[in-house]
Amino acid sequence: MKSILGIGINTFKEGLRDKTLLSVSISGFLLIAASRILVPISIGESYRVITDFGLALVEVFSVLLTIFIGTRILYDEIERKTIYTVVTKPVRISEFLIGKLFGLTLLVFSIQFLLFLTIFLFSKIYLHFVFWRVFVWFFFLFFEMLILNGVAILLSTFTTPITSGLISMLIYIIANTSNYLKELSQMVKLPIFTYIANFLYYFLPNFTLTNVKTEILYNLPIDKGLYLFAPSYSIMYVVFLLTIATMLFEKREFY
Amino acid sequence: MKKLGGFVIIIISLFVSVLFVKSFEDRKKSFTGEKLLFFPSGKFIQGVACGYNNFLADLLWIRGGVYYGGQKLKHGSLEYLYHMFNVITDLDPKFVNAYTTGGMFLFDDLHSLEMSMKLLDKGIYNNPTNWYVPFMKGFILYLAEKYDMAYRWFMVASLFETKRGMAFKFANWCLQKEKGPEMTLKFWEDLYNSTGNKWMREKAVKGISRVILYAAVKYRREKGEWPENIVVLVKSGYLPYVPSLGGKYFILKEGEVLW
Repeated sequence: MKSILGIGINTFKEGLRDKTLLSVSISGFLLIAASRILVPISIGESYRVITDFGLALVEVFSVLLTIFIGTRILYDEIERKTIYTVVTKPVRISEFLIGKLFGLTLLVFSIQFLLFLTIFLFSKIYLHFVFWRVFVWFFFLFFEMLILNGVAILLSTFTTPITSGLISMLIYIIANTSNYLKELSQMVKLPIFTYIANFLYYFLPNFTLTNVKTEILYNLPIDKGLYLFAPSYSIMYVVFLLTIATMLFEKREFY
Repeated sequence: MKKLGGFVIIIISLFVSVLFVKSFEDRKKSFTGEKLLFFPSGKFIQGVACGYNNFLADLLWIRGGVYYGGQKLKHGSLEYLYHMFNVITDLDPKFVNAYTTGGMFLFDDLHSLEMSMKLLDKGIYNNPTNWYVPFMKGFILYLAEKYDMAYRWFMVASLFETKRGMAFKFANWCLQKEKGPEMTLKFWEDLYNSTGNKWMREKAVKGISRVILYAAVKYRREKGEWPENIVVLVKSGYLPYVPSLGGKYFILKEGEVLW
């Protein structure tokens, strides 16, 4: 536990020094602030536009952070040979990877939280109103990003940052459109296609179930089961990803 | 000498590229009207939205406002208006303002009751417990002088209206056609006070002006002269009261309504 915490905090500190983090975060803050220019042309829907733009930008920049930093997290350690300082110590590979995931999640969470505070600040200034229910969406976004962080770490155990970045992005897109896979499997009457589509639907991460932006925006009720589903599903999925990552990483030569 | 040659090449290439941009800029202008021809269907955009449906609906809402404003300014055609509102509401089926604003624009600017009803019906289907969409449908039907149908939709709206009971009052007024001007004035006033939408506010001003003008024309037809002012119309029973919006009163001057 101590070693996981140590690796996690070290990853977090290392991430903070990353120039990508700074540039992505600054772009995020600037874009959220720039949503002010949309107020006069939003034709009476300023509340909606500010909230929607804010939420979408927080999600986009969280994904970008995960892809830019998460996919390089192991690669850099191996390239710079700093990994030898860890593997020579009595640390298990699973602990090392859990620590890395913890550090990355903490980093993405911190930036997400700061971006969220920016949205709150701007809604208070522009709309004289703070929409507290947005925190519910933040809860679901956290668990989505946890899965994506897991995907990035798994991919960085065996590919280059560019490849893992591209695959992570693809998985994020599929996870957000997986409901269409289900629809497609019902539409196409070819049994083999139905099996493949169903397999992909259940096997790949699914973010469509926890996408509650419409419910948040229109103050609609959210299924209470989702509050339990999101953490349990993402934790189970991350366990699955980290197990594969551990198995793959163990095969590398430095162990 | 070499330096000077490089400098000349830079100047010439820059000048030529500016000329290229300038000539293509003019060519592009002639295509602006057809920009929306390639606007994909809502179902397609939904598929590629990746969970950002509301965000895209907002972008299109803003784009729709720019399209409407731009076409109005140059008195252009608004033929893609329905398509645009249809796509916005495909992306966000709960966007009530898109149905009501779209319904009003389609009826008032495109003079298409059919398209307006189609969009509002979609709104009612996607928001079955919302009172404002059937209310707007009732009002547009009233403007189209289909009083019987308007009454029915006002009654539907009154079933879901929780606080003000306005829809029920409108349904009653609709039944009593002689109270038409009062109902219309009240609707426009209410619309003006309840929306921050600039275009809808302009519609409210235009709507009230029309009611006043209609009463003035009626007065002239019956009395043989233009009424001196709005108070004369009120006193002689052609208007229920002197209408105002945002604390500003309407003025009738030589057959012209000012606000």
